Amino acid sequence: MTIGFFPQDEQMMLSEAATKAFSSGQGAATSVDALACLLPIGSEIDLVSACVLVRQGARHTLDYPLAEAFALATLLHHGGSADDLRAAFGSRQGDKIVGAVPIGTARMLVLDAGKTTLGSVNAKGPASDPLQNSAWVTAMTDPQHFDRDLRAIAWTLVSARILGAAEAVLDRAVTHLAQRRQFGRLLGTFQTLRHRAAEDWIRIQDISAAVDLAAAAFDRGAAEDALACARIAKATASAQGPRVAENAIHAHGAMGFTWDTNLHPFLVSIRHDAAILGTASQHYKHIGAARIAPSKQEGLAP
Amino acid sequence: MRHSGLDDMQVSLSDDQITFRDGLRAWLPAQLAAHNAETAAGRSCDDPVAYEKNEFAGDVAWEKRLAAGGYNGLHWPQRYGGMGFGITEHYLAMYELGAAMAPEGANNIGRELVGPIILAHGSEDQKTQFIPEIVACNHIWCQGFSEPDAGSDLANLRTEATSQGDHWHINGQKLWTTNAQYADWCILLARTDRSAPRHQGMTLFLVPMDSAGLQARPIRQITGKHTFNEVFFDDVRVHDSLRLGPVGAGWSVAMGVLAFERGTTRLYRQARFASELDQMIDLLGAEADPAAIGQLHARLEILRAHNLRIVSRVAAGHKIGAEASLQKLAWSELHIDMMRLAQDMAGPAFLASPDWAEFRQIYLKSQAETIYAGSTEVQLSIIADRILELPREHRAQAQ
Repeated sequence: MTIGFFPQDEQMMLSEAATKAFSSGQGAATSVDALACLLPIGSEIDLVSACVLVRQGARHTLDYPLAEAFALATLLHHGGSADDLRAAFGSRQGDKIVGAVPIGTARMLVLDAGKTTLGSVNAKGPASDPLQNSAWVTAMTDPQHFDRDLRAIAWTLVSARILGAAEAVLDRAVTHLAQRRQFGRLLGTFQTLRHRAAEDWIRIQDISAAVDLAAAAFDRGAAEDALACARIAKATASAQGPRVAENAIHAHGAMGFTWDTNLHPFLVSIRHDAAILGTASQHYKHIGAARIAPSKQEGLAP
Repeated sequence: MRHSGLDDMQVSLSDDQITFRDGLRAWLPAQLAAHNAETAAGRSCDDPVAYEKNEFAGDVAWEKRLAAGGYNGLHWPQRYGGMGFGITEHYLAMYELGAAMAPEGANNIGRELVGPIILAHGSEDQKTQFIPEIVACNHIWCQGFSEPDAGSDLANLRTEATSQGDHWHINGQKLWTTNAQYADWCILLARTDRSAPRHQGMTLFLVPMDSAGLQARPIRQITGKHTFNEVFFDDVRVHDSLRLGPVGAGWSVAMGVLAFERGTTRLYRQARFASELDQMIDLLGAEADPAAIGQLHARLEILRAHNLRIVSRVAAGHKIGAEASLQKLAWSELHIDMMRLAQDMAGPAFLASPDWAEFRQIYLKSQAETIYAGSTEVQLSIIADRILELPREHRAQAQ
C-alpha cells in the first residue's frame, strides 16, 4: 500500500474495517483476530497499513497492545492470534530491564540499535498502577537475542497510536466546545478556546505527517530514512500528543476531571506511549546531534 | 540526514523531471557565483538608501538571469512566454533555489499572485500583455490590498473605484505595500459597491504605478529598511480593460490568490530554512545545543511533509483548501523560533558580531512573517471555522 498524502481508497477501506471491528463490542483480542491482520511487517503487511490499524485501535481505546504484537510478529517472521502475540515493550535502565507491563502479559521486547531481545516477564496482579492495569517489571528471564533492528517499526507504530488517541480526544473536545454554553454563549465562540483547539489540530497534523513520512520511507525500503523519520515521529508524538490530551481535559472544565467523562484512558495511554521507547527530549537530542555532526564535517571541508 | 527534493515520496519524478532538476543543479552554482560577483560592489555601499536600491536592483538582475536561463515562468503556458512545464517542475525549481539560498527574487507579487490570478481570471488581452513581462521580470508588481483600517481584517477596506463611462476613478489609501516605490504595476483591490455586503462589492484592478494622482511613500521598518509603502490614490483614472475579473467578484478572486500565496511557494522557504539551519550550526560551533537543533530539524522535516502533501494534492489537480493555513502558520512560526533559538545559543554575538549580520536581518524580518499573508490568529480562526467547524466567533459587522 502506498500512502498518498490524502488518504487513498485502500487506506479508507482498511480504516473502516478496523473501525467496525474495534467498535463491535466483542473483546479486544477477538476483534483483532477478526481482522486477521497480525502479520510480519515488511513481508506480509506494510507499515502504512499497520499504522492505520494501530491508529484506529487507539481511537477506540482498544485494550490490546497492537503495536507490540506487530513488532513481535515481525521479529518471529510469522503472524498469529492476538493471544499468541501479546507482548510489552521494555527499556534499559542502567543494566536492568524495566517496563510497565499489562497484567497477564508474559513476553517483553527490548529494542536496541541493530538488535532485539525477547524475554519472559512475570506481570501478575495486583496492578501497581490500576489506571493502566499494569505491573512494574524489573527483570526478564530467558532472553533470546535477534539481529534485527525493530526501532523504526516500533517508533512509527507507537507514534500512530498516540496519533489515534489524540484525534479521539480532540474530537471529544470539539464536540464539547460546540455544545456547552457558559456566559450565555457556546464555548466554541470564545477565541482562546477556538485557537487552542486549532493548535491541537495542528499538533495532530504534525504527528500525522511525521508518521506518514516514516511509514512511507520504511515501505519503500529506505531503512536509514525510515529510522530517522521514525525518530522524528516519536519525538513529535511524545512532545505534542500529551498536550492534546491535557487540553481536551481542560476544555471540558471540571467535568473533564471526572472518571465518568472517560477522557483519562486516552491521557494514560498517550502518556504511557510518550514515555516508552525514548522520550521526546531524548529523541530530540539525538536528532540534533545527528544534524550537527555532518554539518560540522562539511564546514571542515576545503 | 538531509533530504533534497521531492523524489522520496508520493511525487515520483519522471526521467525528464530528474533531468530538469539535475540541469538546474548544474546551472545554479556558476550563475550564483557570477551574480554575487556582479552585485558585490552594490552591497559594499555605505549609504543606506543607495544600498537598498542596489539590493533591489540585484534581485531584479537575479530574476532576469533566471529568466534568461529558462527557469522563470516554468509552469506557465508557452504562448504567454512561460516554459510550458507542469507544476512539479515549478516545485522542483523552488526547492533547488531555496536549498542554494538563491535570492528570492524581486517580483514575488508578480510571480506568485498576479501571474496566477491573470492566468485564471484575466482576459486574453491581459494574459498577452502582462504574463510575458512577468516572466522576463520587466514589470515589477506590488499588491494594493491592505489599508490603515484593513489589515488582518481585509474585508474592511475602503479604497473606492467609481465607474465613469469606460473608466474607473480610484480614491483611497493603501498601506504596507511592499516595493511600491520600485513597482511598475499594482494589483489593487477596491470597493465598487458600498451598498453590497462586506465581502461583496469589491473588484480587482491592474493599475500603472506612474498613473497621475498616484503617490507611493516608503515607510521605514524595524529592519531599518524601507520596503513597505503607503500608496495614495487621488482620483486615479484606470481604463475598464484593466479591471481583472468581474465587477463585484474581487474578494473571491483575491481569496483564491491568498490561498495560493499561503500554500505553494513554501518549498523555497522550507529548503532555504534548512540551509539557514546549516549555517547557524556552523556559526554556533560548540554552542550548538543538540536538543534545540533537534527540535528545529524535526519541525523542518514535518514542514517538508506538509509541503509534499500540498504538492501531491496540487499535482493531482486538486485545489488547495484550508490546509494552506496550516502551512502558512507552520513555516512562519518555525522561522521565528529558529531565530529565537539561534539568539539563545549565540548569546551577545548575535547582536553585534559581523558573523551574524545576515541572521539579525532574518530575525527582524521573521517578525513580519507571522503577520502578513494572514496572521497566525487569522489562520487559527480559519482552521477553527472551516476544519473544526466550531461555532463562529462573535464579530462586529462593519459597514
